[in-house]
Amino acid sequence: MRIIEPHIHMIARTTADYERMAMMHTVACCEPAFWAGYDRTSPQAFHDYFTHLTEFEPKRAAQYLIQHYAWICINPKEAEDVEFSREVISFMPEFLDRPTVLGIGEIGLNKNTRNEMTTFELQVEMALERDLMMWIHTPHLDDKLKGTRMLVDCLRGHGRVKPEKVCFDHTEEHTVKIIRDAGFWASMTIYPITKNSPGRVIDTLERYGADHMLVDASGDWGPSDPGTLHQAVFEMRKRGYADDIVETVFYDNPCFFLGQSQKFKPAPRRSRTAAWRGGTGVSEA
Amino acid sequence: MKIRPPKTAQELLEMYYLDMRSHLLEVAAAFDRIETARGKCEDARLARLRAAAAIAVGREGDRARRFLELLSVDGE
Repeated sequence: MRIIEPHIHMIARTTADYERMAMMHTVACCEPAFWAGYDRTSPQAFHDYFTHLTEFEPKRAAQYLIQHYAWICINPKEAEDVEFSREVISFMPEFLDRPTVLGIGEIGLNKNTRNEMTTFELQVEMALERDLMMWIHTPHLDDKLKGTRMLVDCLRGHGRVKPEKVCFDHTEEHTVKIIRDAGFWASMTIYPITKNSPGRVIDTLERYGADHMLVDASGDWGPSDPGTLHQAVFEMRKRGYADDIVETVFYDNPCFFLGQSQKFKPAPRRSRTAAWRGGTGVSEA
Repeated sequence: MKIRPPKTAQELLEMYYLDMRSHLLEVAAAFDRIETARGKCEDARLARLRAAAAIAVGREGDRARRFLELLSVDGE
C-alpha cells in the first residue's frame, strides 16, 4: 500500500522523520508555506524560505525515495500587514514556476480579520490568473467555524473559482459539510490534541463519504507527528475495511486532487469514476 | 463515495469501550483537580465544557459536530 502525505512541514522535521515516512510507505509529500513560529522580519526572509522549500527539501526527501512538492504563499498568521504581504506576493511568481510547486497555499484566515481577508483575496487572484490550485488553511479551534464560512462565502461569491481546484484543510465535523456542499475538497488534519484523532477521521469518512476527502498529519514544530497519518490507515484497517478502499483514501484521492497539476507525478491506480463507484467498505479479505 | 462500516455496533463497542472509559475518566479527574486546587476558578470555559460533556454523553446523535459548534466563537 502506498501513502501520500498531502500536508506536512518538513522544514520543521528531522531527516529521521523522512526515514520513518519512507518505511511507512509514503511515496510523496506536500509542504505548504506556513508560519515559522515567529513573525519573519522582512519579505526577504520569505524569499529564503521559498528557496528552501523548492531546492533543499526535494533533495532531502529524494534520499528516502519520497517526492517532495510545495505550495507557495504568505500564510494567514503573517497576513495582517497588507503592504508587507504585497511585497512577498510580488516575488511569488518566481517560485510558482518552479517544477515542484503545485499552487498557492496555505492561504486563508487566522483571526478572521479584514486585513487577513484582503491578503487572502490578493493571492486568490494570483492563483486564478495563473490557473493554479489553492490549499486553504482554516482557523484553529474556536475561530474555525466562522473563518470557514467566511472563506467559503468569499470563494463561492467570486464567480471564477473552480471548487474542484481548491482544498480546505484542518476541517472537522462542524465544517466538512459546509465545504463539501460548496463543491470543494476537504482535508482532515490529525493532531494529538487540537484537531482530529484517527478515529474521528474515519468517522467523518463514514458519515460524509470518501470522495473529495483527504487526510493529513500536518506535522510541524508543534505537537504533531507524521505517524498520525499512518495511525489513521491502521484505524481504517482495524475497522475491517478492505485495503483497496483504504488505499483509495490515502493514495488515490491525493492523486486525484494534486494530479490536477501536471507537475505532480504519482498516478492513481485507476480512474476517479472507477475508484469512487459504489464502495461498500466491507472487507473482502 | 459512500462507505459503510463493516463492523456491528457491538463489535465497535468492544473495540472502543476502554478508550471511551479512559477519556471520560480523564475529564472527570480534571474537573476534580481544578475544583480541589487552591483558589477559586469561575472561568466561563468550565461551564462550556460541562455543556459540551452533556452533548457527548446525551442520547441525541451528531454529537461531535454539535460539540464543536458549541465551542465555536459564533456557535455561542
